[in-house]
Amino acid sequence: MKAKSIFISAFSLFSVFAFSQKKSEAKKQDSAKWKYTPNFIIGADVLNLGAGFFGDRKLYQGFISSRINRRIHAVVDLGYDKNIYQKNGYDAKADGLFLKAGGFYMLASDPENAFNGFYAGAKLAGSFYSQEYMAIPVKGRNNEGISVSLEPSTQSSYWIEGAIGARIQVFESNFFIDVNIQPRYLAYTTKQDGVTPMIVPGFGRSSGSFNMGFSWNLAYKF
Amino acid sequence: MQKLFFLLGFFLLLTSCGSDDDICLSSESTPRLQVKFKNEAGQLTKIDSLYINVDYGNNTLTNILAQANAETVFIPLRIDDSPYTDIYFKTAKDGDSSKVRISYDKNAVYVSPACGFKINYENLKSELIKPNPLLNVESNHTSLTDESKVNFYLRF
Repeated sequence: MKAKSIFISAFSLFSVFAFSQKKSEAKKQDSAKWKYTPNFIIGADVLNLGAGFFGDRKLYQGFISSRINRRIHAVVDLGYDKNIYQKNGYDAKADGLFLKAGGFYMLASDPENAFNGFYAGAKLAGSFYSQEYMAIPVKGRNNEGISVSLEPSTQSSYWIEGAIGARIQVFESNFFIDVNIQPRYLAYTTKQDGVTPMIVPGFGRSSGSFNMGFSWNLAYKF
Repeated sequence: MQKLFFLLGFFLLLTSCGSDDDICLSSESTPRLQVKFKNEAGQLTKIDSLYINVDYGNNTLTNILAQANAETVFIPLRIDDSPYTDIYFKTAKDGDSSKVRISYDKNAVYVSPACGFKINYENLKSELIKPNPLLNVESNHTSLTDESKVNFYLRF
């Protein structure tokens, strides 16, 4: 856990360096009429990729975004998440793919580079995963360690999430750093024998409906 | 920009309120057997002193009650795979104890993420294996899903 914290802390420091870099040259302003030309940014979440080495959760995710308007970008996320839950008498595991689609609005962008800036957006997300509950506690007085187990099964969950973040070009290259947080609300989930899932791949801990995600992406612009 | 931070704070607030996966109220736990006492005339009565031990299957008896003027007692039953629970009643600390075997059908009912499952008992049956001081066990309500009804009346 400590190693994981140090790792995340190091990434946060990197972000500060990226945000504080100075722009050397002024670029041309966007022309008054904005026309869509194919443009894509592909990114991979390196923070969670690295954190997977230190913890039980293996979260691999990436995104493709495209600027479709002067200030609006469309974005699609795809990922794989494998996690375990061992707490309060529970012993569970889940793994599967998740997909998110949505857009974000550039709140404040750099006049020199419209791809740089702070943004806020929203996404719809779905996760399709297999889970196994080896133990779910049975609560009773004077009786400890009794549990119920469920057969492995396939389930799906759906949630809405916000995205608040920033995208910064790394010096003059085509690389960008995209950092964002994702407040999430679990809207619907299928349940095995009526049991609320404790972990949902891509969503995280799901015993409560609200959750928060964080990603630190290294992206490349085509 | 200020709006952005306000929004951020709001979502953080929601997130912090959402993690309640530790708290399980005892009322949502497995219900306990409710027992009252009757005298020879069939009227409700109190027991001057009562000691109850239960065999939870770990090779020792667990003392769950030592009470004076007992009127209503709640006895947690076993939640493991055993089809019965053995309960020992004494009216004096060093006196003889009676053995009652309560048998039942169990089913596990999902409660919540924090509580997991609880057990509901059906078809409660009693068997007085060793009488004295306990003389008779009268069945009342054979289903145990909450603690609102008397399951057995005991006569000493």
